[in-house]
Amino acid sequence: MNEEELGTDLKKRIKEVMRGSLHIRHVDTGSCNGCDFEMATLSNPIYDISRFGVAFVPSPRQADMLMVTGGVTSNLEKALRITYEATPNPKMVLAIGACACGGGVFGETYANAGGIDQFVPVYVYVPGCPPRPQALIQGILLAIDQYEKVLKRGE
Amino acid sequence: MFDMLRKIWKVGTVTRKQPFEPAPKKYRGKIELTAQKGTNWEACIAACPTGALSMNVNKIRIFYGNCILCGNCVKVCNTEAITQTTDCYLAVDAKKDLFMSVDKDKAK
Repeated sequence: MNEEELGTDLKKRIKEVMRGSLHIRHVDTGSCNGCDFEMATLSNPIYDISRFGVAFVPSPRQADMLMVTGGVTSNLEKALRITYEATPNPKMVLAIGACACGGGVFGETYANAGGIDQFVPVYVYVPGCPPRPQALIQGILLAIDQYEKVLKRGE
Repeated sequence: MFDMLRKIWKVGTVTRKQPFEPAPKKYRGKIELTAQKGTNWEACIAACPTGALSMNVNKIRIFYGNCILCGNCVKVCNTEAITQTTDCYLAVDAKKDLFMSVDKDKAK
């Protein structure tokens, strides 16, 4: 996907696929907070993501999309499963950052599972340590493309 | 209130429009591999802190899911085989797209 495609799409795509709004719940499964800061950057005045109809919500029961950061530590494995079950169908899961995609600097140890795809099905992987906010927007766009396919299959 | 209005007038609009401008020149982006003769691949693999670079018989493989874009392999590499671009759009929707491999025997 090139940058021009990225330019016009997000608002239009959210309007036609998600009917106007996309609600995101952020799940932290033991990350170092680098990716979390980049996600907080999405809602600041520079990359004002609310102009596209995207909102961060406080509960997984209101969310369409889970953004998971961090390789899953043994304490937060249960929390990830419960959050995933609490999200209404159909739901999207984004793996944000190197840790969530494949372990990153923490790797696979007794305390760290290394990758969220062992526990929940993942729609889109956004690697990077941390990924730029633009890359997160690209990830959201790719996830919406897959979501549309799922909706069509369901109908 | 007037101070606030003056500040708004001074600062203006800071929100970036899509498409966003490209990453800065020094940004450490996607790492790309090309097969080149005389490359000391063992040193590059040893320099990787997360084990993203690996060698299987004669194939060098990079796994972007583990790569933290630190650029250590680029510094250590004695040829131009490993380069770091400023490309930051790395998102993919299938895990197999996170892998990239080159054959070290097929070097020109």
